[in-house]
Amino acid sequence: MLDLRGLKVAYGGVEILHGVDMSLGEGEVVGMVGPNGAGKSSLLRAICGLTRPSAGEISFEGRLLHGLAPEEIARLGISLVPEGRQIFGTLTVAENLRLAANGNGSEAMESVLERLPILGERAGQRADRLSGGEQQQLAVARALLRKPRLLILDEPSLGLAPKTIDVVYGLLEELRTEGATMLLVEQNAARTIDFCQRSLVLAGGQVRASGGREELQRDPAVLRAYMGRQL
Amino acid sequence: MNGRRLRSPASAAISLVVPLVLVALTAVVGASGTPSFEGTVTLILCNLVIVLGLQVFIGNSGVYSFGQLGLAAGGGYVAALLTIPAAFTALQAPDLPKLIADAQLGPVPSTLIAAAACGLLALVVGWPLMRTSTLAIPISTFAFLIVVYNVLANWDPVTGGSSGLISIPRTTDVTSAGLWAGAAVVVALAFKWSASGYRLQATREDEVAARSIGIGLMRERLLAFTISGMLCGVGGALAVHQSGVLSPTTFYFAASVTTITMLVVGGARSVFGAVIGTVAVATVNELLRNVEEGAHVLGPFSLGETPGLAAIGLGLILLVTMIALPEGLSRGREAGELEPIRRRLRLRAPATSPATAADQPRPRSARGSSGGLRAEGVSLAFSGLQVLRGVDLELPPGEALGLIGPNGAGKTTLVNVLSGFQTPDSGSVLLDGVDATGWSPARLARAGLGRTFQAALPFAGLTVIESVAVGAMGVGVGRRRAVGAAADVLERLGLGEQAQSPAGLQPPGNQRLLGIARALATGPRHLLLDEPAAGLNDEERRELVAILRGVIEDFGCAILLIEHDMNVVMDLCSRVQVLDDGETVVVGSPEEVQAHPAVVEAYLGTSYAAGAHA
Amino acid sequence: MTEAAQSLIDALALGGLYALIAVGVALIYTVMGMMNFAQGEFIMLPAYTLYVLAGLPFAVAIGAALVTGIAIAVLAERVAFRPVRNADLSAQLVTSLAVATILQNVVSASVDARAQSVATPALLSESSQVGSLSVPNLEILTLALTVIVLGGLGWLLYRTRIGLEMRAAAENFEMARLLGVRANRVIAIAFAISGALAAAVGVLIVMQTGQVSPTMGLTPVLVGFIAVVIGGFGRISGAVVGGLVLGVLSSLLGTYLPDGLVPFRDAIVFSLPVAILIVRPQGLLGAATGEARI
Repeated sequence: MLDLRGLKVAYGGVEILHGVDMSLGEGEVVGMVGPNGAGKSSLLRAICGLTRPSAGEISFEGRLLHGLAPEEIARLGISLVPEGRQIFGTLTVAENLRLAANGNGSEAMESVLERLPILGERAGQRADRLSGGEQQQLAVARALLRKPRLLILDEPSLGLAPKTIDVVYGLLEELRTEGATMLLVEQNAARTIDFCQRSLVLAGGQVRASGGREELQRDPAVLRAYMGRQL
Repeated sequence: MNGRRLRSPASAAISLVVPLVLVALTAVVGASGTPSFEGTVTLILCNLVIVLGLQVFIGNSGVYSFGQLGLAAGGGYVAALLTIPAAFTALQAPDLPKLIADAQLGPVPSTLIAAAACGLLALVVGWPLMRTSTLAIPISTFAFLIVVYNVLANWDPVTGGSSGLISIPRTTDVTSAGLWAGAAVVVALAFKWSASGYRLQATREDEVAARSIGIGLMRERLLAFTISGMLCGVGGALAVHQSGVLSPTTFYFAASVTTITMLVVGGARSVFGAVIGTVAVATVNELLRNVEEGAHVLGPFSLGETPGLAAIGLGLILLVTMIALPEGLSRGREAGELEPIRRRLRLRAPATSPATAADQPRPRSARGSSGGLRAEGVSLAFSGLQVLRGVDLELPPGEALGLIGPNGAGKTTLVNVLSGFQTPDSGSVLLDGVDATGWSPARLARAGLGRTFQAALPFAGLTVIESVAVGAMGVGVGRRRAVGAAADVLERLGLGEQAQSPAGLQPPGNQRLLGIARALATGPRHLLLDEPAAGLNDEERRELVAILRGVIEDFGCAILLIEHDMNVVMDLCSRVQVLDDGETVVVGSPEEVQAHPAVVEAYLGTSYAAGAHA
Repeated sequence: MTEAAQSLIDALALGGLYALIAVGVALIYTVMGMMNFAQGEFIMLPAYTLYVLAGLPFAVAIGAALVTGIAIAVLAERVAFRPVRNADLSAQLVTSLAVATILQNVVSASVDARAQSVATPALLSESSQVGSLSVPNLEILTLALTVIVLGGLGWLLYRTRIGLEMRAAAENFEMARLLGVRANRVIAIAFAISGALAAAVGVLIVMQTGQVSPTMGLTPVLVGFIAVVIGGFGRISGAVVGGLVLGVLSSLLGTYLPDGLVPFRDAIVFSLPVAILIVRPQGLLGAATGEARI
């Protein structure tokens, strides 16, 4: 479904990604872990059209994404839950949701509210009054309302208390069972590798390791990518 | 030689001579034509002085001011009132103080007085205006322009009101205009290449980085605004002495647009650009004026009389320039910096000379003060998130401390607090035992604290050596010593060969090193580096570690390093502090920290923490 | 008492007019980040429509003015501003300056550089009795129009889809695009509304002064800029407040200023905001910026 070939991204004069290859099939749940500065966010931004790659190509369902505007890529079915959630604080919860739904039918809205009842309760409140966890749920709800073909999450657990993270991951688990295609980017490696069928380890702008759950849990490359030396 | 100077003498000479020659040529061409043609060319040269005034402020600061014509108007009126014969002054401006009304000075004294008056006006007006934010300056200067117009048009008894002044002695001829224009070229170039000029250019290139090397935004802008005002005053005085008449609309909106167009089309950043822009636009303007009056331009083709065509044409030129060639015809380069000339000069460049001990950037006030840098109980919340919770940090002199932690832990925020870019809600920052909480970044830089940023924040429009030298200039070092210090630092970091290349064209690894070089040029005793190894390959990383180790040993500089690359941290740092979720998890030696389960857990999660001991 | 009430109504009417100007400027600023110098010409061109269509029924002329305002704004965005959308703010400002000067001179060349008079319906030069006050009809119209327009804008922003998209884009353009909001459409509509507002302002000014001139947009655009800035950059509500404050101030100064200083009224009004900006750089309603840029 999603194919990256030789992707390079440069940011403010510094080349962050030095040629990444990656593939994602329909229904897969793939994780991407690595220390900060590895280039994970740059990769996601490139996929979503926010940053132009300096080299390489990205294709989605057979279609090259080169030169497309972010809104066009979003309309193709790629939905990003960005780092830091980036909900519209000055809009109400309901407005945040309505913006995303864009006439996608009320059943989509109903099903999302069913999953995340707290949003229904807080519908009329300004979104910046929500707690971190609620904001994260709002961000995911927004992404879901677009009926995405591919759901990408950038560090959904950032800044959340462990219990809240559990709630968020519970939601992701539900989505997984329903066959959603997801790309999950996290800095906390253990949880991600455990959650996803397979994962990639990105460090220093390159893929250093990849494999299924069990493989990576035994692979010392993961530890090395984060902590430098192998102990 | 090239390594120890900002530019080769040849390049500097070309940059100075070419615009002067252009001015001289223009004057000669003007003198050889009909009197009316000479008058037109004279006016162009008067315009050039104003455009150079614009260049001094707009070109170097990157901020657009629409008020310079208000200053030119001031110059024009002062010069006019000082030179109009007493009898006529009494008629046109009856309430004028007798001293001024009776004065009948020559062209040079009146122009000089006009310049001084405008400088003073610029200082008085600029002081509040430059305090407004960068975005508000265009608007507040535009307001100033309209206020000036308003006052001039309504203060009849003193300024002659909206009908203006007449009978101004027409003493400006093409020669005197050419001489003043030449002087203006020299002033503009001298300012651009002075320490003040460089500091101002740094604020244009990157405001944040400029503050981090000790530069005071308002102060530098005000200085340029004042000099700009003086030049515009001279231009205004010259212009009224050419045309003999003056009204509030002479130096108002249309003239503002024309002069700004001249500056932009030529290229705002360069004096050479100001000159060629003025000549080019004025020529096109004249051509269009002829067409406007029904002249036959292309054989029998004529548009008939079309008033306003010239102004429309100018507007279109400005628009097309902004869209297609925003840097102008000169691309922002001086004559000696143009590509073909640069290439030819490089071929003859001798090897760089070795560093001399005398030019080493000495750590600031190395005598006596031995205190370190400390944070005590620093807490900070913003956007509803508690980012730092009572964090302590200690960086003793000469030590290397690594600051690590997962994304969002608060590391950069802590460095921002230490370097003055953010103020903590509670807690304090101590520098050499003095409470430095709330000090501005510039003040901290001058007190010996340097830093780099996650993004390289290069001064892309300056050369490599310029962008490092300005670091020293920022903390008050004179130009010559600053250049020497910069050359030294560049040698040390292996960038000596690149000294004359544009900083913006350097490869990513070099740009990071440049950021470090720039901070080093300020002669810091405490250096805060934010992810200096990002984007470096293995070899570059090893070199970086060696360089930083040298910095600690030779400069006696303490280093605080935010890094995600554990290898760098382990190799360089004697102590490591781990931050997670705004709190310190552990402080210890690299080995201790690397194996500490809480640290591993913070990054990777529980299952790996157990494995870390294995 | 009556005199004070009279002055107050005068002041509010001018405040309303200035608020309309300010909102037109603020709309473009919040969505695009650009201070639009050409707003003055968006005001001036519709005003000239009234002059050009002098013979026709007034209602037709006003309709034409409205269409002119919208058309010129959308056209300017498409032709001149879109190519520089990603350039820095100085470049955008100078581009708008270029557009302003082109439009000014086109009018100057095709009509006349001097002011022209425009006949206005007699009804508007009269006054009506409101209680014990005699209020000029034009002021009633201005106040009514201000309330209706601001109300309509509020309805648009808070109760329609496009308004929702605009508010989202104003807060975080990138995120809005990630949710499928079309950047070009939002910006074009912001310009269209801005053009319509400018047209209304142009018509009101013509009806008050009975004149049009190519440079008539200069002072209004400055008013708009200053109102937006002192109200607090980037907030439409701030622009309304800024406009009201400037208008009320200007009007009151005009009434109560000693005769000798009256010609300098504009000078005083435009100098005061600078004082505000020094004391409170974020403007009256702006949020204090606590965050570093890094």
